Amino acid sequence: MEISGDYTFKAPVEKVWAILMNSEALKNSLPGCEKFEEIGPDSYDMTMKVGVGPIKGTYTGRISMADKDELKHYKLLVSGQGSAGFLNGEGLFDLTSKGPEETVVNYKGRANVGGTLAGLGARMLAPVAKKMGNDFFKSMDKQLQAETESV
Amino acid sequence: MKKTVKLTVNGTTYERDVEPRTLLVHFLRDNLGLTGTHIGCDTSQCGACTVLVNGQSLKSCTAFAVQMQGAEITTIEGLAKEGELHPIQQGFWEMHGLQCGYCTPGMIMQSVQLLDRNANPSEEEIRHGIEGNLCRCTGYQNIVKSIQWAAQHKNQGATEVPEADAPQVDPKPISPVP
Amino acid sequence: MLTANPTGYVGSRIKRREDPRLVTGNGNFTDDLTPVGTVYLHMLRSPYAHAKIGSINTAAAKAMPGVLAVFTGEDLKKDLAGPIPGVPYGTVQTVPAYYPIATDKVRFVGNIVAAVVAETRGQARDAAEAIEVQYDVLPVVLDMEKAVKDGSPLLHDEIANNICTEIELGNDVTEAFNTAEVTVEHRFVNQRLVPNALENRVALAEFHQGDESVTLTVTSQNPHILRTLLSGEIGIAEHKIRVVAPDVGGGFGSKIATYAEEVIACIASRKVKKPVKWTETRSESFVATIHGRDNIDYIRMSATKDGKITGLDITAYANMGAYMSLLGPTVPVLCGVIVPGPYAIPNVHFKAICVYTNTTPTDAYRGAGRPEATYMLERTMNMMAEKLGMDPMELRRKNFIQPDQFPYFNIVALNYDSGNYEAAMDKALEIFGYNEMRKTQEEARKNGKYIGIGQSTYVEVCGLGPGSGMTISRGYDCAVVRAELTGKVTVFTGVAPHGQGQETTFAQIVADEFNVPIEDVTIKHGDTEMTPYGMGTYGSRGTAVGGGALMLAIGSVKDKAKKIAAFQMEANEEDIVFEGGKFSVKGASGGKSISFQEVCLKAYIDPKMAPVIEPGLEATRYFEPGNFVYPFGTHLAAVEVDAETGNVKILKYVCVDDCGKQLNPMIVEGQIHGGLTQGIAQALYEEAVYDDNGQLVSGTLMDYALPTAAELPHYTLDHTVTPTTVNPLGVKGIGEAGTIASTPVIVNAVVDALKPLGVKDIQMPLRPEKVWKIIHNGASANGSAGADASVVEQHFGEDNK
Ligand code: FES
Ligand code: FES
Repeated sequence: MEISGDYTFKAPVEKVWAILMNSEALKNSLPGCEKFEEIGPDSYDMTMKVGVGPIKGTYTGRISMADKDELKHYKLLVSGQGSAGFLNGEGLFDLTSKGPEETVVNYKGRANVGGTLAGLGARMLAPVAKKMGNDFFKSMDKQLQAETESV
Repeated sequence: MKKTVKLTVNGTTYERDVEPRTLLVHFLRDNLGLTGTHIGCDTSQCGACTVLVNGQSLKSCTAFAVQMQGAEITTIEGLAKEGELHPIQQGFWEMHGLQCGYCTPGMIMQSVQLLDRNANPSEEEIRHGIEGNLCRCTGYQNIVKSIQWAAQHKNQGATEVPEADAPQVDPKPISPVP
Repeated sequence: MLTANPTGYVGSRIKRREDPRLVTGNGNFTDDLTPVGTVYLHMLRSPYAHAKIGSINTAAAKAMPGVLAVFTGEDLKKDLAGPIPGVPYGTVQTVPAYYPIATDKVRFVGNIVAAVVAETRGQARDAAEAIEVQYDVLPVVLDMEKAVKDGSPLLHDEIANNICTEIELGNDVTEAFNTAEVTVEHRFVNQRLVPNALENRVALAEFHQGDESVTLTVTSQNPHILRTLLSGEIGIAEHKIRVVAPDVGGGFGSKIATYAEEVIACIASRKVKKPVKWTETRSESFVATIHGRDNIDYIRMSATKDGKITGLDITAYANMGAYMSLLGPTVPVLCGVIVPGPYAIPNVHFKAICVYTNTTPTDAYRGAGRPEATYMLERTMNMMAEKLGMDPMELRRKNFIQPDQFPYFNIVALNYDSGNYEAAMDKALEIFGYNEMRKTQEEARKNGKYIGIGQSTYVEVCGLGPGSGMTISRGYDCAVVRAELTGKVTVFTGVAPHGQGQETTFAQIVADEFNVPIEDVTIKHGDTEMTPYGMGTYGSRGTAVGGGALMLAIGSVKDKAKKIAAFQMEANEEDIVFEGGKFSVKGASGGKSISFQEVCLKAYIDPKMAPVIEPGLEATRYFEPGNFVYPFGTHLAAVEVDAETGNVKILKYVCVDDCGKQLNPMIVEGQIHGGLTQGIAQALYEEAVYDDNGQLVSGTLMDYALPTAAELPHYTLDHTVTPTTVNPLGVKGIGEAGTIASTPVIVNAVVDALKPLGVKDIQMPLRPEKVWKIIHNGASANGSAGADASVVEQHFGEDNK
């Protein structure tokens, strides 16, 4: 299954990069994240409760960041497993500064799913994944703004 | 967490506490013991669970019990009146419209609505009208004939679709099963 | 033989006696039953097709509310007497242990890794989610032809090349192909199907503390066989197990095998001391219940220039899935034995290579082997006809076994007892209007329309089966006929109908034979505590074999009744005749007689008979036929392919089947309708699709296309009656014939329709998208089943050029 999209932050690229790299922000942006433990640099064990139709359930897994190219690019690796199946995926994120107050993040992800998740087919999962991607950035954006305001 | 729902099923009014996540089909089967309504899938494709809600057919696995507040529901058990089969039930019997009988309750309830809306459907209209109900045994040909039989006999002034009997008090609560 | 009686039930369209309860919602399906105190079982299944189980942590699950027990493979093994059995056949290396819960490795998506028992369904499901399993993922084996190559990853360490077994039948065909004037060869893919009985599987196990016995109420087609196998699995002796199959919502073969969940439910009930119920969901069923078909068939056929077929050579790869299901290797045997079909072919060779892959195990699905045989044969017949420039029907006519050739040995294994293939064919051609349809087709072609005609002339082997012809067990069934004191009759049969209507047809027989109203007869089935050992319902055997036992038992009851009547009328037993419901003395005038009901009464209460005749009036009889039965027929269809959409519309479908005597034509027709639909659906819609990781991507009813009423045609049915003497009723099975015959009819028709485009074959299912591509991009656009001709050539070598 493949998903891709972009999100525009009304903020300078440095700030966007910083928030995306912030583990606390990452935790807050993962939907239904219940447990989030650092197990190494840029690597975390997590438990997520996801409630979308038949893929409802608790997923445990690992999330890590790699291939960081400051202000430009990074990779997010996710692997999770729950009773409805498993998911292994990686997302590539590319940041582009469009001016002092605008940054576009392009993301491209690919996932391997198994179990009931696969049975449901990409047709059903793709919109769910898309929504989750969108929610992720919205949450990051919110946190970015909150930070900015509090400063 | 439980919510109270009050509804009428086959003429009897029930008031029950249910978990909000309870599907109507599970409520009918497990809480009211009306096991004539069957479950054939978990993606709302098969139609085995079809019942009438306020006269409209509904796949009862697509609704929560708590959404049925005040509804009048007819299940397969409520279709025959005073031991007299409904013309559609009779039609299925006459024309061999069932084999294993698992799809049959849902198929019959769907056919009730079909004939309510169109008293004289063509074969094609019947086939489209029951498209949402799967039968793995019959190949549908005799189901079509069954509905045609019912259409003919219903039009001759045979039994009408039964209205709900005068509401009774919840007779003997069956211990709720999760 | 059946007696002609004025009651005249047999042969009539008697309305089914099963129906009143089923149309009113009063059926008794397993999931409708919930004894007091029932708790619920939920399975945690592997999401990986192939992986080592690293560790399983159940601590959190065990602590969850309502949880009564959690089993892993190791936990269960302690209570297990043996793994789930498969019946070997051929050159089996060894039968791999199939544990209900996987212990070391998981081998298909859906393999059970843990089971939870809890007070509610929701709690059981929630707790299963809290189980942590660590998997070490292994490479996945899916492609059968690659799986058997050296170096391919192995599913079972002890099984070399993933080869479950090899089965070889027939004679040497080398000479036939060396001297052949014309040959055709091809590679067919008979895709994997999911049976999808509308009722999912359910198991309700009740362990009784008092006498340490267990009752399993279950969706089964063969409760007795299940009881025997269960005993070996759970270690409770057979006489302490009761298996009940109440109303069963369709089976089509998927409810024959013994399944992991039944074993786990029994063991769980013993452990938690409560009734334990497991109800499969549909998406679970897609991976957990057996699949059918999934063969790759290499076939070559040789013939003379004028169209006499001289040889047939087949190599079939049969996908067993991850383990050996009960009848896994038996299915290809059923394919091989009938592969020459209704044609007199002197040289036939069949080889099956049964292969393990990381997929759901396969087993018998409606037709089981015979659809695979008929599909490749009937498609190849058309290819041969094309190559010879003959009409496909003429080629068939030319090669039919002639009526005077019966009994006919088909070289591979079987002795066909009877048949008249041409008669059925001629009748079908006439009803169909074959020649006119050819004209219509020609006209349509001129107008750029794609109309095609498809055909299949089949013979099937069913009525399993004669003891001598079965591979593992004798093949019989039983009946108890009990004439009650008041003259009513109760019958207990060993077959287990679940839609086939024997509660009606058997009652028709009994009512006619005893000349009683049908209301006075009850047919009971599906409970091992009630009936003697029966083999159940599969392989179109219910009436052919179970009905035979019924006839024998009726005969025995009549014999005893005559004895009683003789005593009562002070006559010789040999002089008693039973006619019109009365026993009378042959030749005696004065009309002294005694009714059946009076005899029943006397049998139980007359003290005068005490010294001479044992009380009671019942008999238990087993019937084991001397041969299989061989129904046959001709099916024809006309289709139109819509060039705009690629959609295939069936314009006309005619079938003429011969199932011998029809006890209830209405029920026979119903069986044919259903069979046709499943066969047509294989041709047009159904397919289980795995992705490269062994994930079933057509795993719900959204993705797996079951046919609905809207896309199916109206079928025109007729029949011929060629009697068989294999059983006392003169009947042949009809449950599977429709499925066996119809698949090639449709594909032949579509290929015929697209002939102007150069299309020679299309791989099933013929979904619109695929057909559309062929119309728009040409015949080569879509992989024809033969894939690359070179693959086929490579397979058979150059020797047959
Ligand atoms: S259970 Fe299948 S549609 Fe409701
Ligand atoms: S009668 Fe069996 S599913 Fe319809």
